[in-house]
Amino acid sequence: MMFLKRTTQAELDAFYPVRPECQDSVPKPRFKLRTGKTLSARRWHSSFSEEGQLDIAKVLRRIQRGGVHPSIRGAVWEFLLGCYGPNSTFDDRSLIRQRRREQYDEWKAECKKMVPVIGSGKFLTTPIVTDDGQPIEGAPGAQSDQQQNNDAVFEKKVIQWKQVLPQIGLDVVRTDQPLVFYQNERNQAKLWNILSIYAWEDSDISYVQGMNDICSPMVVLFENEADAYWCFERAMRRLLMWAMEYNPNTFLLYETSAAAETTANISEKLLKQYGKYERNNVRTGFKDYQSGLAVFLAASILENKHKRILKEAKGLDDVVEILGDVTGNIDAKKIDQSLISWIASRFDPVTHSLKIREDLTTVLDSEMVGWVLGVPSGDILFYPEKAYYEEFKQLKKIYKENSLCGAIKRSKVYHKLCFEKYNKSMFKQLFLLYTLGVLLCPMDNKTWISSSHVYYLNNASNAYEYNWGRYMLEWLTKYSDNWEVLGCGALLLAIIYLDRIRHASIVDWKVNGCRICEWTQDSVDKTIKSDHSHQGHYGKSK
Amino acid sequence: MAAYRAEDDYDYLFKVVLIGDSGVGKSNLLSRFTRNEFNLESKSTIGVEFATRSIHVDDKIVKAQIWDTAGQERYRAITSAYYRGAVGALLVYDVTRHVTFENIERWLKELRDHTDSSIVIMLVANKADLRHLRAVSTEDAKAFAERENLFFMETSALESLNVENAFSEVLTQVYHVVCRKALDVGGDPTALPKGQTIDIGKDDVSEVKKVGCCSA
Repeated sequence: MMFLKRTTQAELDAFYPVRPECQDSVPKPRFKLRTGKTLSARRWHSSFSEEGQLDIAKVLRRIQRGGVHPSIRGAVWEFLLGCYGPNSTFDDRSLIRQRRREQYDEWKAECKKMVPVIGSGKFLTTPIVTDDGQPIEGAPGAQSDQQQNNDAVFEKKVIQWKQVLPQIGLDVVRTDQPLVFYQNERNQAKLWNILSIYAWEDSDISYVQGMNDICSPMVVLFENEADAYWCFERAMRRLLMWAMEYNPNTFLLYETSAAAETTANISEKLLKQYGKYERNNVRTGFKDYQSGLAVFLAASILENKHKRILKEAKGLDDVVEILGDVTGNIDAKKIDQSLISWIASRFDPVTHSLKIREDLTTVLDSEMVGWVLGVPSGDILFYPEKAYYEEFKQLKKIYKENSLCGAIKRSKVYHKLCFEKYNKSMFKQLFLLYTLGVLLCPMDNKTWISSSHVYYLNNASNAYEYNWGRYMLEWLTKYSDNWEVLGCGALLLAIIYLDRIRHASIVDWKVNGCRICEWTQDSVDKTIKSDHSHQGHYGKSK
Repeated sequence: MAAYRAEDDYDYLFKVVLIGDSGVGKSNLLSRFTRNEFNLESKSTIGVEFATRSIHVDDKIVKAQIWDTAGQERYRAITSAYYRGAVGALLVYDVTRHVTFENIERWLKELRDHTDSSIVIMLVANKADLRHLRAVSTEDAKAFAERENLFFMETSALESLNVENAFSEVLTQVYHVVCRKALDVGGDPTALPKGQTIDIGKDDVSEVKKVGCCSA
């Protein structure tokens, strides 16, 4: 038995040999061959009908339980990634394969015409064109056979592509270096060819660092470069959402989540958003509340904390305390009222612009609002879709019955939260309303807020996917003439204004989080004071 | 070891950014400084990472939060968020690849566009151990650093040469800037810091729009 185990392990190691000097630094693979569980070559081949149709359900079960034997991994992946349908026959597949190889060779030839080093067994790590697209003298393999094309769009595409090629090369040399496989330059060149040709064919995505790691296994698994390309292309389709672009919202999360989460309840999902170094800090219990204190919109707060609130907030004092954790360092009620009205008078709802000084106007956009308030700026926009209209009406009715219709005083919500009993869903809505009041209308407890916010909040199942910045901005413009009543966005405008006239003061900087958190009561007071002229006017800082 | 005290015990927290072309060794400088590790088989950085380490400056504990990013242009979408609040920067090039030195100018411009003028910048000539492959002379780099008013140091993350010095120097300088500023406004808390103009054009808010080019 012992002997058998050793043979299989050795057999496994032989598939992906690691350079001897790297043996220690390479983590041991978790995959183990398990007789009877791992999908073996024999079982794989017996899962096809006579014509070659695959019993996919049967093999999937096995793959799930014990993985795939390395000897058939490439062939299995082709099916799993959808290169071939399980119902295709041997003949179908050989035809598809043939056609795809031809297609790849065609593209490769096209690319080779522009950059001869493609397909030569070598690859580029140094630039071949300058930033403005001029060929660099003496750059190896750069001389293109192609005639100058007068099509400007095409030329631009060519230049952009040529500029990314050395980047691919720089990453290719850093890809899976411990593998003996990549000690061979021809194998590195294979990886480079595939990524380069992909970058040409999919110029929207082109090449983004990290794609090399996705492509590398395909190059190792497939002898044929074209087959590896198509597997990679399929994988890219599946990974598109993840691989296409770095998502700024993820970054926002990354910056602020340290405050919202403590070590005890940090989820694996959230942990993944940290870098590899900081992840360890988070895991081992490093806490830095100060740096990450962030104001999220009510929904985000609820998203993070609603379990805690529902469980712990027995009286409203607790709710207020929890909120206090999140609403940062400024007591909005203390901000000079005359400054607020002065700023509001300088906001133009039509152009979304705030006049900072006579000669300087800042145009607000949803990204800016999102950043200042630390609210997510996701892709989904809030629109009162007609489809929701009935639901909206229904909701209004419920509010009416609970005397929450229209604009309501925050103090009234407070009272309701404190002294009346509700089911969880109503509690959630009231809480949202209250929290939103704190953020949108921080001036005092008598401020009126519109219950129509609740409709949106109630429908935001995943707060991070919605564009709260835009929502806030629309709200701001809609009611800007009436801001004193609705109080909306006064704090937002104040922060944007103060930010723009902020006197460089390195001492007050904190490294993380949204703008609203970087301001303290003290720095707000000081800035306002310095901006206040003897005649009582603002805008002194010119 | 005093340098590795409890993470939350510090007097100052400074954000320092690492910038420079792809493959110049930013991540290895970071891992050498914060964990005393070097990895020959390191992979390219994806997105942004940061690590922290505290050091002593005078009698104070300064905690450095050092941000490392992908060198590739494509990741520039996160630029302003990356630079936001940075008080120190290490501008890294690879002494064996001249093009990485040529691009320093561009990195410097981007840095100055996105940060406060009081930021402390050090030009770092990394991979100094590869003597036989050197493509950028020390003199050229020194001259450039002097012209642009940057600190300069030659390092090797592999040989652990000057890495500690480079980071410590930047942090010490930042600390002095902070102390000086505190002194300037110390007398009268309401007074404007002396001789400082309010540079609205350079302020963060105007840059924020660039953050979201992918989500728009």
